[in-house]
Amino acid sequence: MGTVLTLVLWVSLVVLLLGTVIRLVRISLHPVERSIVITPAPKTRWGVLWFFVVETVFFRTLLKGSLGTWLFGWLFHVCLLLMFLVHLRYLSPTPNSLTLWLMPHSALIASGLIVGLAGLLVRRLTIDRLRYISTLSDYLHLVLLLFIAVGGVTMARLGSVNVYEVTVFVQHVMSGQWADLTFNWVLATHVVGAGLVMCLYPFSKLFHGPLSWFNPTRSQTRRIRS
Amino acid sequence: MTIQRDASAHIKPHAASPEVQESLGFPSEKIDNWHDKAIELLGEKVQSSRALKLAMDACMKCGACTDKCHYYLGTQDPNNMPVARQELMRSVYKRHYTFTGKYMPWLVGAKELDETMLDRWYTYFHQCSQCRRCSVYCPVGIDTSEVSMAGRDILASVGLGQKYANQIINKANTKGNNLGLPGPALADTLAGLEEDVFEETGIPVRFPLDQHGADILLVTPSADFFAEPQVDGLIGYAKVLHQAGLSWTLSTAASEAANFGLFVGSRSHTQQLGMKIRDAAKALGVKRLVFGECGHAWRVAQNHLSELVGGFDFLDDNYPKPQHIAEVTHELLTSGAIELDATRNAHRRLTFHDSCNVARASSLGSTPNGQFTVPRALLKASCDHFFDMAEHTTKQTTFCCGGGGGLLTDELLELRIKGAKPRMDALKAVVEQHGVTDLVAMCAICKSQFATVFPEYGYAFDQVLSLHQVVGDALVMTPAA
Amino acid sequence: MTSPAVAELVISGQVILTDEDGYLKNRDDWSEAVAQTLSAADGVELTESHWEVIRLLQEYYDNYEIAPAIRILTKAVGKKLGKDKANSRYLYDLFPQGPAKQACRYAGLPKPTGCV
Repeated sequence: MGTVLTLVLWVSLVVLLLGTVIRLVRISLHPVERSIVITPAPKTRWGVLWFFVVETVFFRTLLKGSLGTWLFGWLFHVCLLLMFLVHLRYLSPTPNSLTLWLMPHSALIASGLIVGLAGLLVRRLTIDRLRYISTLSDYLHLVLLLFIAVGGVTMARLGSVNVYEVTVFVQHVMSGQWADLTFNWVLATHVVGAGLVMCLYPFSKLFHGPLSWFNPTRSQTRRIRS
Repeated sequence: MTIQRDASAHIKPHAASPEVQESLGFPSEKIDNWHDKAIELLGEKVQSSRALKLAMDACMKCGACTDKCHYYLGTQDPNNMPVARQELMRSVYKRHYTFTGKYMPWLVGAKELDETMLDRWYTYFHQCSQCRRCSVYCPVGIDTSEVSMAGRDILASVGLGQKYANQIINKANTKGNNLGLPGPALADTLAGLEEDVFEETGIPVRFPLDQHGADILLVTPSADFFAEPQVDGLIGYAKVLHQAGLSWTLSTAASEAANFGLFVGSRSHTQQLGMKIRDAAKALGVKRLVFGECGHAWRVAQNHLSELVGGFDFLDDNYPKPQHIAEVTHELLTSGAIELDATRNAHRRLTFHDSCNVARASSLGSTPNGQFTVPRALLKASCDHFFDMAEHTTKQTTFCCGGGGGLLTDELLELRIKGAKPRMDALKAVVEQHGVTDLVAMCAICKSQFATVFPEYGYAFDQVLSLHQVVGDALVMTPAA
Repeated sequence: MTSPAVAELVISGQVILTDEDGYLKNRDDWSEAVAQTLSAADGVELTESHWEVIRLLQEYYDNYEIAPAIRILTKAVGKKLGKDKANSRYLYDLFPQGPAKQACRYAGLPKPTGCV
């Protein structure tokens, strides 16, 4: 199992990194034809940067647009970030202090993650406007993320995975060495699921975050007449 | 509110005639290889526009925009939800230009551009007034107007142009303005206005036409010469300019500010119409260029005109190039060059409709929120009774009048009436709460649209006023020395 | 609100072409009978007041190749019919779909275009 998962992680990481670079380069090569910034808009590049910082941290536009989506969406993204930090424990036998501080709260973070995703899924299923615009992939993205999260929670609850063994495995993978791992169904699907998300990320709507920084409606400064 | 499928599927604009299509360089009727041509053009357009590419790629279907469009709120047709309107194009783009769309269309909702889809394009890209209210709420900033503009251009390019907009572009190209108002009729109209104002005020306010050596060229939508309440706004500009002692002129050759090239997504037509203005300004030897009350004219003027027509280096550098009449009047007011007497509008209780292209695509004056504060400052100086409509219906989140973006045509009247509903609801609230008597607007389309739909909502056609009508009525005028 | 789209009218055996909105394709086809047929379809009975406006529109069009601006029309109406009628409310009462468009249609003139 170690060999297969090593391969999965290597491929996923390469696809994620290369895909992200390719996607960013390609979108930046698309020309901006004319000024279409939504006004009132910042006058300077710094003002634009500030807009995006606030936007990225608080999802301010979404908050204005839909409280329900904001609530679940923001909760999901924040918990995803925290969960990513928690997972950094596997990179080193001595995790950084932030990770150490977060680790005891991982059950809470996982709950937030699942509530956020489930909330988004329920909204998509129950609000007729959202159902109308949703395609199969829109549901599957949420289901896949939920699946990964539930798998993680299951492992934590059952305590069926040897954390030390996983840490050694991950460190081997990251340093480019083949590694072994005791077979565990839940762990296998968790890792394969995460790998799939990493592969999908640069080539699907999941990439909306980085793309939004390139949108001329927001990234242009206000026109100053000569 | 639940969605009602195909509730407005029957509303579509007339097709442009073969003659008009040809005059704009489009095929006279639907071409045989429309499918291949449309797909090819779609690919080219996405390739050449980052905004369009993002509309195709960055939407996560969060649904924040779904209840923000006035046409959706008015019709409940789900295809009028901005995301669904975009999806009409996105699904086709995916089918032809993405891996998943080509090989797993069922997964991502990719669709073929068949007759049904083509018909939906024609219908729903003409149920978008390109007001961009949805963009304000989009977390990734997708601009639906870029989608409907591109869609309309593709449709026209395969022979399916829209009559109203294309006919107007043709008239502006051949006769100088959207109305098709010939020079002698314009001169006669202006002479009549001079008579009227003199009769009313006893002051010889002039409406100069083609006056060489004037300082200011005023370019205004031709509706200002023709319709009410637009013409009352034109009278207001003339009174202000007269009282301030400024030398100005209108131009026969540039007798149109409203640039319909924008609505149909055509850079070349936007440019062609803009060149007329530059040429006229140069020929008349003016120092300043000022635009009258028109929403998208100002959007084009402020954002694109200079680069489209190669700059205005011949104009006086002491003034912004170009300016908006509301800015000019506001400066005159703050500098004390003109005086406004609010008691003269004591019989009025006013509210203000922010026009989409001024509110969300332009600015006025030098402050970041000038497009909101300048007209309000003018109104408050002109009338003691001013009441804003609800916050989420004004300023950056203003609702469209329901007739913008090239939809101000009779066959779309049902859509226009329904699309006006969110604005009418907001108006009703201030009418009931504050006894508001008149709605003030500063866009020719908004004014005509309200004059037309007001009776449907229990108001009189003349309860919409031009900004400069109110200003002109309050203006303290002194007989010429 | 708009008249049903008619491709043609048949008046005393003569076929007259209109556009989708009921405006005559060819101004020379106009006759009083045409105006009556078009207005009857809207449920409007043409009175002498309507005819005055229709004739004013046609006269102006003959001179300037365009329908008169609303102010010119109200002024002309005022001169002919008295000051109390020199306002657009009077014209809207006669032509509730908007004087410029509805009256032009009955007068056989093309539809005004633009932001009007």
